[in-house]
Amino acid sequence: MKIFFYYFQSAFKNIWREKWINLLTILSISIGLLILCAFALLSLNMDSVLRHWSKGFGIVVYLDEAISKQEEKDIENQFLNDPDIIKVNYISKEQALIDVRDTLGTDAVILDNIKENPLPSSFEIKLKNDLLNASYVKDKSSELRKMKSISEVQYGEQWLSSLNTISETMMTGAAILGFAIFIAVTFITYSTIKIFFYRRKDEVETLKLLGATKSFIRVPFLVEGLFIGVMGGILSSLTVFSAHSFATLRIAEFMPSIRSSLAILPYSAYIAIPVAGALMSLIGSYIAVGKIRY
Amino acid sequence: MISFSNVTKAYDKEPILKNLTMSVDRGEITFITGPSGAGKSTLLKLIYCSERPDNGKISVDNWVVHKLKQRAIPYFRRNIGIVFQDFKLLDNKTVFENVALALRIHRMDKKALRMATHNVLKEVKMSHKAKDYPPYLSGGEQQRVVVARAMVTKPMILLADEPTGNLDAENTRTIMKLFREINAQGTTVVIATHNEGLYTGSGRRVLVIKDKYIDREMMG
Ligand SMILES: Nc1ncnc2c1ncn2[C@@H]1O[C@H](COP(=O)(O)OP(=O)(O)OP(=O)(O)O)[C@@H](O)[C@H]1O
Ligand SMILES: [Mg+2]
Repeated sequence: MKIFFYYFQSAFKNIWREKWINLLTILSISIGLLILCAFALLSLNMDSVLRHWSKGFGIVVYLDEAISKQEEKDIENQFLNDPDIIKVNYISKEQALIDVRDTLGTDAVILDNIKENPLPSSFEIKLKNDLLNASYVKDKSSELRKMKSISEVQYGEQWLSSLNTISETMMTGAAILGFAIFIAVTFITYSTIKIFFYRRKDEVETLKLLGATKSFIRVPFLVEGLFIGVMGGILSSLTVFSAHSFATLRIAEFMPSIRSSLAILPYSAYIAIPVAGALMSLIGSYIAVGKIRY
Repeated sequence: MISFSNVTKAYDKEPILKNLTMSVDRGEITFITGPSGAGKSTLLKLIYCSERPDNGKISVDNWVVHKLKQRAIPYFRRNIGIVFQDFKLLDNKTVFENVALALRIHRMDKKALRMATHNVLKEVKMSHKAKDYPPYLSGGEQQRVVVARAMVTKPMILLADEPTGNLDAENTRTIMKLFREINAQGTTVVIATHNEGLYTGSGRRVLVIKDKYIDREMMG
């Protein structure tokens, strides 16, 4: 316990002695972590936008012309019992015609020449959100197409696959960026602690000769690295927090609607950022000190 | 206490010590002498395991030094106080902190550490400079701080490499008196020096290095 007090005391003396290089390192780390936060925010917002769009995604199942009421009922029941399907909406021939008229507006006069209603009745079904990937929807619709009394199945195939591409690209991007930032922050601490280690090489040699254990030598450097990482993390947490407060205060003044649709970092992130910084810098400084040989 | 048997040590294939055999008994004060470059410092470094022998056996107390494992070295060294020829004081720590460092490494608690440090600084007559930094001390003052740091842990063995090289006659007498006192408390003392004045008339054993080994032994 006492020895830990000494470790911290001497580490903080050293931190103060090298305050400028430490400040610079802390700033670089916080910028790195900020980039990560900014990307996380972007992804979260994109994700919520995508989710919003996905809500409108449906599959339209057109029924045979000659279908009976009972058969329609059977199909509807089958849809209702399907765990993948969360919503079923029946559109009768008549309703379909009304919809078309609505869409055409004044041009609807062209329909007056048609005696018989040419439109089939249909179901509009919605799948569970997490099933909305191109390949699954494709399988599902061909399965539906094989069912009795179903003439045609339609959905926004192109739209769905581009939606999938966007979210996959974002996931890959997030992984690559996260890894790059991890390497960068680790490396930044590594080089700073390496510099400190070289500057104190004589001190380290003397400590060894006086009988200091490896941990006695190593811990002060690790404490310094830890401090740098945590401070970098706290700095970027504070920046994100103030940016977020500013955004909700100011932007919401002009566009009240944005407040509800703006995705924000969960509160745990404000803790997670310094913890992540600490972890990365700890690894960096551990590598920087390296193996101690007597 | 310390024993060398057929020890050979070379730097870059050029042997400095060759088939050196010697021993130092517990409780002795022993001098090691020889011309500059004879290998006195090297011999001391072999004792505290800062250099490893190329051949031969070295033992200190119950420690088999030539086979010592990396992780055992710090614990082994805590038995030895060293007055380094080049001092090895930390420039950014005060005199007090430099001496106290040895005790921190020994995990002594704060109160005892303060007392022991102040006492030893008084003994080497450096109390008045406890808050100064080594670069602002004279050579002789620095040397006394190094002696204080080596003594403060009350080591089993004290190795002193040219401990009076920078001292005037009076300070030399003070330091030598301290060595005798610490020796009287049970510490084995080994002093490497080319200063004949240090051992003549001491009545202690003097080992002379010549031609890469202990050429002869005499009484000072
Ligand atoms: N690390 C080293 N690498 C190469 N050569 C070394 C090294 N240390 C010492 N030597 C050489 O070994 C020889 C003995 O050195 P050492 O320091 O043991 O002599 P010494 O007897 O202590 O001399 P002095 O009285 O001048 O202190 C010298 O010639 C020196 O150049
Ligand atoms: Mg020497």
